[in-house]
Amino acid sequence: MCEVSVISKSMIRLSRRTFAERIDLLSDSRKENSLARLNAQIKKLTKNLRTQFSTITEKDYGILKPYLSLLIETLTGLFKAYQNSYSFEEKEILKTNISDLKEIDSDIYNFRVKIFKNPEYQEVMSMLKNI
Amino acid sequence: MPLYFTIQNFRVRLTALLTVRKKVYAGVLDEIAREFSSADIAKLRANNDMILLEDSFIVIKLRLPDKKQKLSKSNGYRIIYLTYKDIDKVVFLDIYPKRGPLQQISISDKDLLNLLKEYLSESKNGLLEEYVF
Repeated sequence: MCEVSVISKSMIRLSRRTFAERIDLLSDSRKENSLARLNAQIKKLTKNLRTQFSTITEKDYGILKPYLSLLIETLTGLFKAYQNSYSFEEKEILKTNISDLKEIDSDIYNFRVKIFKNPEYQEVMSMLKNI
Repeated sequence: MPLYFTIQNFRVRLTALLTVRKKVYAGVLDEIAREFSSADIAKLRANNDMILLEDSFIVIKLRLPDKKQKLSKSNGYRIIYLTYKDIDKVVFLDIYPKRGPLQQISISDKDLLNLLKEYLSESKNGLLEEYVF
């Protein structure tokens, strides 16, 4: 069991921040360096997910998945809104951060949930142990 | 220092990277060498990028940068390798780039099981090849 509660709260907070950033952008009231700060927090979340990876269970993923999907969707919306503005560098970092979150989502689903249900899994594992 | 081996899939994928036009992925051998040539086995086993953790072995999807293209670990290569907890042996199973003409976004559970089956078969038939840096 990973730190589901802490991680999901962090995802909710970041989704809210991302949405607020988008509103600030539309209303031209964006604060200086706000995207850089958001990028730093997304990086921290991704790192935390990677650290917790081997303890994430199917039940954990069931709880985290809706928050993670919402965060990815919200960040993608923000990236699109930033298309013609703001510094190239921070926009590229945002794009990489979205890609990193999608990758960790795919890895959790494939290797902490789906692989254990694959009928070939037990057979391959037992052969590997006996090699 | 651990012994490094490759399965055929890895060799095919590496060759494909090295033969892409304009030498987009020409830095891949340097990245592998930089990460593995002087690494101790404990570090290779303890990597945070593990995707499969079993009693006697670990499968790791390591993120490598591509310094030649000025790409960070996030946007560089993914190298999939297997290592044992009590044998100093590393087997390279797959490698792919996150960017460019041979871009691959992720790897599925089915892909990984196929790689492991290929390793088992080649190991049984003596077809693994040693990787020399």
